[in-house]
Amino acid sequence: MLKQESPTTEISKVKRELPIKRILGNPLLTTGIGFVLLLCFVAIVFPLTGNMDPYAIDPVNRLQPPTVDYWFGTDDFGRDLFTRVIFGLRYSLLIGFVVAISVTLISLVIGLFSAYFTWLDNILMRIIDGLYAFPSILLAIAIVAIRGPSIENVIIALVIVYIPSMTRIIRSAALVVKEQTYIEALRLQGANTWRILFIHTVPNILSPIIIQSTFIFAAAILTEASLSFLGAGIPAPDPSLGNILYDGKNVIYKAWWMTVFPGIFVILLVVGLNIAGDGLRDLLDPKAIRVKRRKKKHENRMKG
Amino acid sequence: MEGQKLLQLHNLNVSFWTERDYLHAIHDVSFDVYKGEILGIVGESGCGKSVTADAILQLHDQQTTDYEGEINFEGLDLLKQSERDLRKIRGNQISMIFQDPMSSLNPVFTVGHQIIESLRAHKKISKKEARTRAIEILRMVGIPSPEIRIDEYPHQLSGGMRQRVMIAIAICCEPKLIIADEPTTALDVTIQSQILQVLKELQTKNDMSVIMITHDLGVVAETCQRVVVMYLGQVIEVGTVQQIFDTPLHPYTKGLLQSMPNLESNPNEPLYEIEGTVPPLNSIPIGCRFANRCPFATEECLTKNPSLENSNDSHQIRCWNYNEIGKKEGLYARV
Amino acid sequence: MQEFKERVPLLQVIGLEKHFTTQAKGLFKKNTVRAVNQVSFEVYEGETLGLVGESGCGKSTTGRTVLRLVEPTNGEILYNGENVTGMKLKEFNKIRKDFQMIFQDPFASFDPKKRIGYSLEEVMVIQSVGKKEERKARAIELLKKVGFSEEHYYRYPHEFSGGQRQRIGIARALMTNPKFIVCDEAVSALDVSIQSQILNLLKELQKDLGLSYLFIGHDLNVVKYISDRIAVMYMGEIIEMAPTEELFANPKHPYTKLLLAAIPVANPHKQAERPILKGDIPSPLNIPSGCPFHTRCPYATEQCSKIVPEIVHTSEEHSVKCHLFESDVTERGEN
Repeated sequence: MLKQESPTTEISKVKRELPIKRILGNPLLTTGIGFVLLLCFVAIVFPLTGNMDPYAIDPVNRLQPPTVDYWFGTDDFGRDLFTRVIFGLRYSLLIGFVVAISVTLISLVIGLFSAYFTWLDNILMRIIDGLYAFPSILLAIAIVAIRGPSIENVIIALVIVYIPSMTRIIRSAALVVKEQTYIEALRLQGANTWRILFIHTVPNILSPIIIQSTFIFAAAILTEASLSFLGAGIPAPDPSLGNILYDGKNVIYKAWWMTVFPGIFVILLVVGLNIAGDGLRDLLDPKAIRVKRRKKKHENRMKG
Repeated sequence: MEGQKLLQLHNLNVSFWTERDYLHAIHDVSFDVYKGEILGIVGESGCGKSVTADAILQLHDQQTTDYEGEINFEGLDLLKQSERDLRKIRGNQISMIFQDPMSSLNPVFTVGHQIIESLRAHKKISKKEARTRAIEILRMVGIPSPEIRIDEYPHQLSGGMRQRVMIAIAICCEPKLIIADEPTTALDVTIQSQILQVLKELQTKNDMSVIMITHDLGVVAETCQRVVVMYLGQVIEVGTVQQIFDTPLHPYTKGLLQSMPNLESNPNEPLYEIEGTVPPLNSIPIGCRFANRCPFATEECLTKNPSLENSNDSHQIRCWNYNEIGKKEGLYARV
Repeated sequence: MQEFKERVPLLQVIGLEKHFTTQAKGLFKKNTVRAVNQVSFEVYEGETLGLVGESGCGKSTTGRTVLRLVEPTNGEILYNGENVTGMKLKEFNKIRKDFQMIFQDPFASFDPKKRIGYSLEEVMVIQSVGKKEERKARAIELLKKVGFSEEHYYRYPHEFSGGQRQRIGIARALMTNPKFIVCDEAVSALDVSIQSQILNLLKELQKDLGLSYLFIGHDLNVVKYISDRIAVMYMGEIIEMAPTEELFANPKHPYTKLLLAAIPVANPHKQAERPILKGDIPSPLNIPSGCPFHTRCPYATEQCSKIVPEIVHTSEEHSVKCHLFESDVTERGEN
């Protein structure tokens, strides 16, 4: 006669920490996300004040250093650099976000199906590996050159460039899940591939996907800035952090502000995203470092 | 028990910092290992037997582990030795064999290289001599054609062979003590009997002591002279192998012996079940740790943790009521 | 046991084979691994057939092939007389509710992201059986049957211990009222004291629900306890099959005898000198010619290395695949 489990004693009392607490407890993650959110706030809210026009020319005040009226100075057309930088930031965030999401969705499809259908795997992965071999900037330039410079084509180029890395990650993670006993149990129950892939595999491979997408977000921004800096990205007169740098390189000794300010924002954005990504990785992955930090904290407290 | 003590554990406590808790993995563990004996440590998952074994050579991550107590080996307290001194002892005077030979052997080096590496780390010996010695040791552990196999890689050998190589590495410097942590659990039963025989032969030949950690009571009965039984981080019974199997005193030991199916079990009768499950390490009960599962628990058992006492010369027991339980009918192990 | 023979067996396997191909040295060469070779047996209603053997013997593959988790290369599988070997998967999925499996690793057998209520009900969702309330009711009914209560329905797998998860695995296997369950090393990963709980539960459920089990295991003590009949496998073949008591009382095949002798006995007084099986288990890539056991068999003759032995019935229930017994045929002849 099987002894009945008493409801609360037999189950191990593993304290489930609230996700919020874990996020806040991780300094890297909070700093990174904080930065990015701040920049998003700036990029969205400031233009709403209504009197920011990135295209407004003021030829009299060309190449002015930062003043009270023009916080970041003006560019070679007399446009307010502050406004242009903020709008450039907008584009960067938009591009980064769209690229990250698109890459994730497309890679999910390719990666999952490669993992489950070996015949497909052989074909697809050879193509993906081939793409991966190209240096990202060159590939992006090539695609933009073929299709012509515009914001849509920049996005398309970046998506193509970053699909391979995400696909490989998804495919590896899916392969691991595929070998798990619970997947075997599902096949035994008659589950079809759709169910196995989307209801069971995807939730179990989310961690690496989320981490990688923050890095792709950052990389996309950087690559777009590089493209624009090389003149192959967002076309004038639309502002982009990169093409402001492009305009600024000819006058770098006369007007340092045209290089410094967009540069700082690129750095802030990319570093913030990378730190957030690192923090996420710490949060979602193994724990050795966190344990040592906990012990150190305790010891320091003991010392008083 | 006659004979000299080789290793003495005295009130050993090991605690770990984990992600969410500070776990006391083993608590006040004390026992001795005599020269030339095979001592078994038995228990189930979470009892702390592997932690105890790893603690002897301090193999845990120093930054997240706290040790307390004494481990006396030939006059030295191992817990007070520097890392440098410990390295002179590991592999040399005290060696270890692990459960999974595939992950304990380095896959990118040949078998011979790994034995020679150990030899040359501890003894002043030339490469040529080391190689000769390595071939000899491989022969001793029963590997056929050792002159050829010495240059093979771990993946080229079967599980049983790899375990023999592990044993070879462990004995190559003629240690006084070998700690074998579940050495045959991952092996097939016919290979297991080969390996156990090798261990027993080497042990008598080299007059080594062996600590045999296992959950398999059959292996204990076959190889060990004395046994330590652990439960949830504590030693709950110590005795000779005859005492443990013929007259087990602790209800857990009795329960364990009783719940194992053997070739004489009656298939028409249900197996004995120890009620409940082992509590997790982060919520260790007050009082006797086994009380919430013990059919003989009293009020005292639930509030006070008994200490390890001598029932007679060689038999120790951690239980308030073992005398009364012994007198009742009921759970005695089969003979 | 005699009445069984007249009935149609629940499961009948005839000449089952499973070959795997792996990459060999050389770009286009392939190695064939004969994991399962000409395996035939029956399982009747309400009985347990034990399948034992060591690594590489093919018992796990057999279990999976019988359920078509892995497609057989050759041979026939019949359920209640119906040949299901060639059935299209879509159709076969519909009858999958009659047979299920309990897996070895309790920690990997549930999707960690889903509550166990979901995991339990899922098979009914897939098979389009019952409505939402009916499924939940059934899940809770079975949870109670294996010793849990309603509140456990809402929990996640990581909140349970290994033994508890194994019980939930049993509940899951029972959700669609199967007649036949393959237990693939169902207790091998569990502690001894939990093993007895699970074995008792399995037996109780068998009596209660009239289940049949194919119990795959390597621990002969456990397999003996739970099985009515036992088949011994070596290198992909069944080399001996008999009712449990008969197999242990009169083992015929030299491998069976040595296998039984290798089991450690949990009794320090019964440690006799035992014959030790020499040599390693051959690699499945290189199965020896003729009788696969001839490389390690103390009685091997020249015939053994050349000719594959036929199955011989030394009595109605006891069959053996060995040249030594070819003259022991009873009047019933070979089947």
